[in-house]
Formats: sequence, C-alpha cells, structure tokens
Amino acid sequence: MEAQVLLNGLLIGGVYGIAALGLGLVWGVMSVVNVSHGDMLIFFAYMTWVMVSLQTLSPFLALVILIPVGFLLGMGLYHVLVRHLIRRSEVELMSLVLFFGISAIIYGIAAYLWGSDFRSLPIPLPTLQIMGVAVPGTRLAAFLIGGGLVLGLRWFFRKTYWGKAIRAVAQSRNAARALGIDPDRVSAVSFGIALAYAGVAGALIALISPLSPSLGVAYAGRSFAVVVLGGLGNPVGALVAGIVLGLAESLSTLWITFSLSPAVAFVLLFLVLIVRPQGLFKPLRSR
Amino acid sequence: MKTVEETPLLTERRDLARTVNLVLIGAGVVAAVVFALQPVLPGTSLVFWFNLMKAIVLALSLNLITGYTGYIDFGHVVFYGLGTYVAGIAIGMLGVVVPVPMWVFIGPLLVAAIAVVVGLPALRLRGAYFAIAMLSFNAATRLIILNLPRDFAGGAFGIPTPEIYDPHAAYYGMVGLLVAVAAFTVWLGNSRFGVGLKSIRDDEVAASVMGVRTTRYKLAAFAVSAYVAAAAGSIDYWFVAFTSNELVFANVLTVEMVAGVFLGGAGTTVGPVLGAGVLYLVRDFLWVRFPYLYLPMFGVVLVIVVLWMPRGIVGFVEDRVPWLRAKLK
Repeated sequence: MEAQVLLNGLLIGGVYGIAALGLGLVWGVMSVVNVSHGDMLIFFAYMTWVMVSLQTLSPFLALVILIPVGFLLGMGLYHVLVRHLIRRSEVELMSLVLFFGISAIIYGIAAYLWGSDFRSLPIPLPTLQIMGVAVPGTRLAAFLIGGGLVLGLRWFFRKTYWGKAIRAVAQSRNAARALGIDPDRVSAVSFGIALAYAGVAGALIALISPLSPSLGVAYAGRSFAVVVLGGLGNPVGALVAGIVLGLAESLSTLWITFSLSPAVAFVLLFLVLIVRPQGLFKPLRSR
Repeated sequence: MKTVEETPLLTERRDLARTVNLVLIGAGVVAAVVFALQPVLPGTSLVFWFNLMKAIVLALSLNLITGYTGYIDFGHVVFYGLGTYVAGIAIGMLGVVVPVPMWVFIGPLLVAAIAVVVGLPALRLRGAYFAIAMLSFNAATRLIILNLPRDFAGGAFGIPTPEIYDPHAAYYGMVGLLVAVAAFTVWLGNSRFGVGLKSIRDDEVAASVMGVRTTRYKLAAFAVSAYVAAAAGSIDYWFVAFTSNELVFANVLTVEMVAGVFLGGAGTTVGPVLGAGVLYLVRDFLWVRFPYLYLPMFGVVLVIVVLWMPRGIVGFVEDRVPWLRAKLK
C-alpha cells in the first residue's frame, strides 16, 4: 500500500516538475511572473485532447506538435505584450496584473470552448506489475518524458551558447548587453522555451488526469509551490521539488480525504513562503 | 519643505481645486441619496443596485491594501467568502442570538482577526510572493471549508437560511457600509495613516527608516480591508439568505476587484469607485447577452490598463488636467 502511494507520488512529481519549469524560467530571466501559467498548461492539455480525440492522433505525436506551437506562442506573446512591460520600473508587480488579466482571458475561452465537464483521453499504455506494485505505463512514460526534458534543459543551460546567454541575461540585462548579447532576443527565446515546456507539460497532464478548465488554479498553485521550493529556473531544483510535492500530495491521501489533496500544494506553498521564501535550491540567476 | 510664493495664479488654482473637491463631495452625497432612495422608487431592480454597491465596496476594500500599501492581493475574495460564512455559520448553523443587522457588522471582526493572524507572516513577503501566498490562502481556505463537517459549514450544499430573508433591510445595510468605506477612504487620503501607507508602497525600507512603523501600518490596513470585504460578504449573505462554497471563493470575484481598482486608479479615492462602477455596468450589459464574454473582458481590461494606462482612469485624466492632481488622490 505505502509502496504504491510512494510510486504514484514519484511518477506524478516528474510531471509537476516540468509543469513548473516555464513559470520559473520566465520569472528568473525577466522578473515577469506569469500567474496565468496554470491556465496555459490546461489550455495546452485541451489542445492535446482536441488533437487526440478529434483528429485521432497519438497523444505522443500531439506532444511533439505542441513543442513548436508553444515556442511560437511564447515568442509571439513576448513581442506583443511582455516586451512593452520590461522597459518599465516595477516589472514584477505590473506583470502580475497583466498576467492576472491573461489568466481570466484564457480561463474564459477554455470554459466557453470546452465547458465545465471533465474530459479525458483513453489510456495509451498498459499497466505493468513489478514486485506486487502496479506501475501505470502512461504515468511512467510521463515521468520519463518530463524528467528527461527537465534534465535536458540543465544541459542546455550549461553547454550551449543560447543557454549561457539566458543565464547571463538572468543575472544582469545590462552586463549581458555590454557583452554583445541582445537581452530582448534572449528574453523572447526564453519565453518561447517556457511555453514549449508548458506545451509538453500540458500534453502530459492530459495523459494522466481528466481535464476541466478549473484545473488551472490547482496547477498554478502546484507550479508556484515547485518554483518557490526549487529555485527560479533551476531545472534540477524543479524536478526535485516536483517529486517532493507529488509525494506530499499522494502521502496526504493516507490521512486526509482525497478531495483535500489539491490543498496540499497551497498549504506547502504558503508554509515555504513564510518559513523559507528563498527556496531550497539556487535560482538560475546565481553563479 | 520649500515655501511657495503666493501668486494670483496659485490662488486661482487653489480655488479651482477647492471647487473640484466640493463637486466630488457633492457627487458622493447625491450618489448616496440615489442609492438610499432605490427601494422606495417604483420599478427599480434592487438586485442591480445592491450588486453595484457590493462591487464598489469590494473594490474600495482591495484598494486599501493594494492601492495604498502596494501589496497586490490575488486572494482578497477569501475575506468576502469568510464574511458570508461567519454570518452563515453563526446565524444558520449555530443559531447565534445576536440580531442579524448587528451580527453582519460584528461577525466580520472575526475575519479581521483572521487577517491579522495571516497577515503577520504573509505581509513579510514582498511583491509576487505576497500575491501568490494570498492566492493559495484563498484556494486552501475554500477547500478546507468544503471539507468541514456538513452540519457545521454546509459542505458543498452551502447554507440556505430562508428565515432571515429581508432584502430591503440588507440593502440599507449595504448603503451604510458603502458610505462608511467611502468616508474612511476620503479621510485616509489626507491622514497621517494614509500617508504612511503610501510611503510603504513607494519605498518600504525608506519608510521604516523615516520612522513609519511599517508592520503595524500594513497589518492595520490589511485588517480594515479584510473587515470591509467580510462585512460586504455578511450583508450579501443577509441579502440572498444563502452562501455556497462554489460562489463566494470564486477567483472571478478577485478578478473583478483587481480590474476595478486598476482601471479606476490604484491608491486613489475616486478611482476604485469609478473603475468598479464602469465595469459593473459593462458586465451587467454583457452578462445577459454574452455570458462567456464577461470574464475575458475583465482580462482584456487589465491587459489594456497595464500596457497603456498604468495609473488607471484617474491617472489618465490627471496627465491631461494637471491641476487636478492633488485633488483626485
């Protein structure tokens, strides 16, 4: 029983990790706090659902399609809206209000298009039995894809030109500019990467849970909890924090009623913010 | 402070400003009378006017913490929701003997106390962290109330209490609350307390160096703000004789408050009234015709305000008519 609960928490933690990554990346690089991140995740999840159930695509193909879609949406959003904000003072506070508005827009559209009924995908992979523990194949695949892409981003930040440029801009826009890096382009690419990751995360969410537009709030809470625990834009931190949250949520079901389990993220977030607001891992902008 | 030489131009401007002030106060009195007269006039919709007042009161409530103090609160609806539950649980479930018209003003004191307990740690957080802490506080509170024993907090079913249904009396309760909050906000604009709060918004460290007791000021503003939202919740519960988890902790309500405050102009007296009023009228128009449009509309309003008029309608007007500046604040 306990082993099963721990495994469930671990597997879903990989999804929480990748789901939070885009939020932390944008926040870390340009001090823009995307409070609509949860709604964006659910919007991508619905796009997956549309592709799979109406176009009868494989969910994994839908996931691959969402990578460039998310990237382009992110670049577009940056150029149309966020760019104008970044030049001002009080970027963080005004970005909160801006994305609070965007959150209302996305939620409203999702509620209009897909109503408040739960939608779910057929489960594509069978459940395996390993040493008396049921391992759902879909969740295992989601964990591996999520975790793998998160670790891939660590490699990207450390070894590639663009990754290093993103870290440089996160540390100081002006110093980066002095070194010949265009902070505007780097920010646009960061936003693109953030939403590409959100696209993948959305597809994984569609694979592992039934969808409703109101799920956005729960995923916003989870993403913020992971970002605050794991440090802004730190991929390894996000993965570890995601797993911690996944374990906390699934262990909580041993003691409290199932319908309270989304509150775990919120309570965890509230407590972490108050006890240790600097999180447990180094943010992207350090070093 | 530099002394300004008395010039005819300055005197003239001061007279103009005084006139504007009188006009605004006059408009406030006229508005109060219009609101108070609605129930006795024939052919008016009590629900329409009641909800208009509620929207303005909630915007003024959020304005105290977000506008004046600069702490953006994305979970402010929690105090409104707790206000409905403080009234609902006491009157509907426990059968408290305090008369309803008194309890809707006493009960919210409990919510103000909760705000102090939550604010003590939460107001140490700055910027986005505070906003998100409040967002999560609201979400967690909603889920916890949903899971409280059903014969205490009604569960998913809510608390219906048809025996207290008295919309006319509740309507006057809301008129009283609106007048009180508006008067408080006008007083705040020129008081030591209000100036202290604005100094926290502009630079908290500098404020504390200058001797402003920032923690006390923030907590006081937060508690008053929570009290007002909770009183609006209690009176709303009295008006409809019902409360339900789904409705009273909805993020939509926070979106409305935030949009009202920022559209009008955060940290001003007139702004939130104007912003909430305008949005309410537009929403009322859209709600009937395009029910799905109204939430995205609030979102579009926020996007436009942030990008093109960051100081709201009041700031927009001030930039064009500079001598109004001191007066609308």
